[in-house]
Amino acid sequence: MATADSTSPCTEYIHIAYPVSPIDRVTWVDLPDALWHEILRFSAVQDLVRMERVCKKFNIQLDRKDRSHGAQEQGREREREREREQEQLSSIHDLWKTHCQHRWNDKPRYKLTDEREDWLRRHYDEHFATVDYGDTAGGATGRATGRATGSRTESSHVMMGNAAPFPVANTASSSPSTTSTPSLSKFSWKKTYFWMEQELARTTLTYDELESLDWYFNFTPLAGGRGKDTLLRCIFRHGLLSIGGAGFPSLPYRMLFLHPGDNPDIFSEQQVNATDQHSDTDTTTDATTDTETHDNPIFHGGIDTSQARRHNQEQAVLIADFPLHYVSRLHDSGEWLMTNAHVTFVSTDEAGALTYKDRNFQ
Amino acid sequence: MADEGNGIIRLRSSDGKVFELTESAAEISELLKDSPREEDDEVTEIDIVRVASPCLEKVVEFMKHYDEEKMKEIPTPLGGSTFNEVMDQPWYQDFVSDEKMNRDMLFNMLSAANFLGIKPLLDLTCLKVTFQITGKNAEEIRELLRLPELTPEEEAKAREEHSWIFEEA
Repeated sequence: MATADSTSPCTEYIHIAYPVSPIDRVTWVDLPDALWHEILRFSAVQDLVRMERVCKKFNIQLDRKDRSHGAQEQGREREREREREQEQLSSIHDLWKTHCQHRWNDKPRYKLTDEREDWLRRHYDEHFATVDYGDTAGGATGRATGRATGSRTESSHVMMGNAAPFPVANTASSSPSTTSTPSLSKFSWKKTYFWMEQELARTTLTYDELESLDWYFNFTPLAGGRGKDTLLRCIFRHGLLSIGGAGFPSLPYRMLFLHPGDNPDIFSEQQVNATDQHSDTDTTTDATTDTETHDNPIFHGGIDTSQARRHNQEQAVLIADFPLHYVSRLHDSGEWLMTNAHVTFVSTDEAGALTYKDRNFQ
Repeated sequence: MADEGNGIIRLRSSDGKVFELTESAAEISELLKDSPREEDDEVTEIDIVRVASPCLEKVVEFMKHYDEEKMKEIPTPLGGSTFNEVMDQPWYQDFVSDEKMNRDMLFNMLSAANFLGIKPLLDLTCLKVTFQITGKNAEEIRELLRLPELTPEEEAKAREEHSWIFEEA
């Protein structure tokens, strides 16, 4: 007969050594770390963060900075405790890394690869460690509960201004030697996750992004677009737009930031819309407030926009003397869109992965 | 030695009750699968001293059914917003239903599944616990899992880092 009890070995028993602690009434805190890891791997981000709020196991990350102070001067027991904390921390990291992988998986320019993970670790100190944690978590909750999340935080301004946009390969390869490699224990997938949430919620396209990303271009049906037949790659560089294919001259462009009440003396997208609909409503002056106008299928050249996107009501790109191109961002892929009634620009990665299917892009 | 898979395994619980299942059904358990067998023995008895009889009975019930109807792997991210959407096999839904399994038993099963190395049972019970936690606020989670109160210092730190959770409560 075999036994799982190591306390009474007997020759007639097959001995299986396991610690003996009868399972009578198990509580959460009694579960080994590996088990709560198993449970929480199914949990949504919001539930995971709530667990961190109430469970000491998760709060080691909060405590670590304080308690590790002067750890070298403390005894061996303290070191053991610290090792245990590190193991738990590692387990938490694994959970958050899994969430990162899942969250970014359908975003070609963000999908986690070994190269991008390496980039994140190398640039952690300069971009991620200073994220306003409370704000980012709040942003995540706001989305989950349907609250508005449009307000910009201080950290988002910082990131927009200074941070290299993840995961632009050019940036990663251009300055790898200038950044010190942070220690693994310092790197936080959780902060990285929330940083990315904030980054994906950003709707202001930076000039660097406009010029460093690759773009696809197409005409709407209203302007003679014929799906893939008229689909072209293009780039914005040094103030000139170059569209692939013969017959397109380079065009100058500039970025405009609009404010409520502005009345740019330009043939605006809203004006095009109003003209198309023969509307006499007052949509001609304020380019910053009318979200519905942007979502109007007629406005989009007769094509229903099924892919959700976040609109920027305050930014547009002027190309030559064409109507303004308004900036928005796709929910699913995180790619940028610049549109007017006649044309569409969609950002893409260097490999040209194109997931956008609206506005004549299929 | 008995033909492979045709032998009988007898599991003895911590309180001395014996439950019987086939070797084939026991194969799902890493612990049982790897446990040594005496040659020529058609019946192998193993003491499971960490698991009491009410829990072991349910574990054996699971193993027997799994031998007849395999449980589908649970995908991550989950392919549904409710337990029954994710786990669409009626027997497994019923097995861990609130009517059939109270919270204490669920945690006991979870630990037993871990101890015996029964991954499908571990997945099923973990999934059930996950959905018990889902959507609950911090205090509800604390109550559900019987977590100890944080000290005022810990509470302050948690409040600082996760302020939005306090706001939503």
